[in-house]
Amino acid sequence: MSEPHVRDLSEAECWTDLRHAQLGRLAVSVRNEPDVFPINFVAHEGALYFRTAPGSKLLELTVNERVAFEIDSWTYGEARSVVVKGVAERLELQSEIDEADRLPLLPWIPTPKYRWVRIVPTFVRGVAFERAAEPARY
Amino acid sequence: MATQTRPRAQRAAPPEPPSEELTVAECWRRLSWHSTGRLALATDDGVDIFPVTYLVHDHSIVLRSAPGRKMLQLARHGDAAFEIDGRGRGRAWSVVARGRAVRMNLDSDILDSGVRELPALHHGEKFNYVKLTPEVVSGREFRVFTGSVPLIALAIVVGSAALILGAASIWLGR
Repeated sequence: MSEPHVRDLSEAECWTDLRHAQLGRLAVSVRNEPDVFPINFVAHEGALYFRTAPGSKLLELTVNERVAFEIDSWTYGEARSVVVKGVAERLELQSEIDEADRLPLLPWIPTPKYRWVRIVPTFVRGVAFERAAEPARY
Repeated sequence: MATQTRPRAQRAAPPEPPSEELTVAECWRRLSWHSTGRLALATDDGVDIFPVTYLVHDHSIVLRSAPGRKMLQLARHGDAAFEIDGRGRGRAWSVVARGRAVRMNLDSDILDSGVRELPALHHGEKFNYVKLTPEVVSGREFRVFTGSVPLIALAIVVGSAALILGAASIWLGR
């Protein structure tokens, strides 16, 4: 059997992908029940920032601050995925909110949103798969 | 941190975003169109998320996963959330299915599901097949802000330049 063409991305490559992505998926888990939300985000100085309206997403983040976040990209020859695990925290300091307001974030929805959330990564992993047919099994 | 959450200044409540809920049938239709998504699982230290390939079989989501951590987590907490999304023509959408994920152990189940025909993410050996039977399937579609601000700014700059040039030529032509 040929070697799987899977390559771990370096941390620098992970951050390059994170800086170039706009859309990611935020996974949260409350009482061991996971949920996933697509969000637009921006990577800035080693953290991820997104905005949200007060609602279920924010509530769940408050209940369980540990989150996982994923981006992926697909081309004909390669699939790449970066996963960030970390701690989500709401920005409370006005100076931090002002700084975040200057970030080039393009929200999914034009509606104004009122809360900034920062994900401070504790773990980053990335992988690139060469896309190919599955080898025979059975 | 959680105790210091009082808002500093009350702002107006945000208006409802311009989005619409997808019907359950539409969610399943979109699930059956696609073949890549993300699986989120509860872990001892919170949650983790993985890109996966999948197919829909008999109102379940059948996916393949490489051996390892994913399976250990499934053994510990069976609850999972599965997400697909897409965008195009000024709209973005997302479908999330939540329910229990179990490892498929019977070869007959695996063969019946057709999961072996699934295009793989890579050529690694993958011996684990997982079936997520959703309890809740929900989806939303949004009108997307397409980022036309730079175009508007460009139009203003070009328009202003034309006005200034026009005024200057009139002034010089006098």
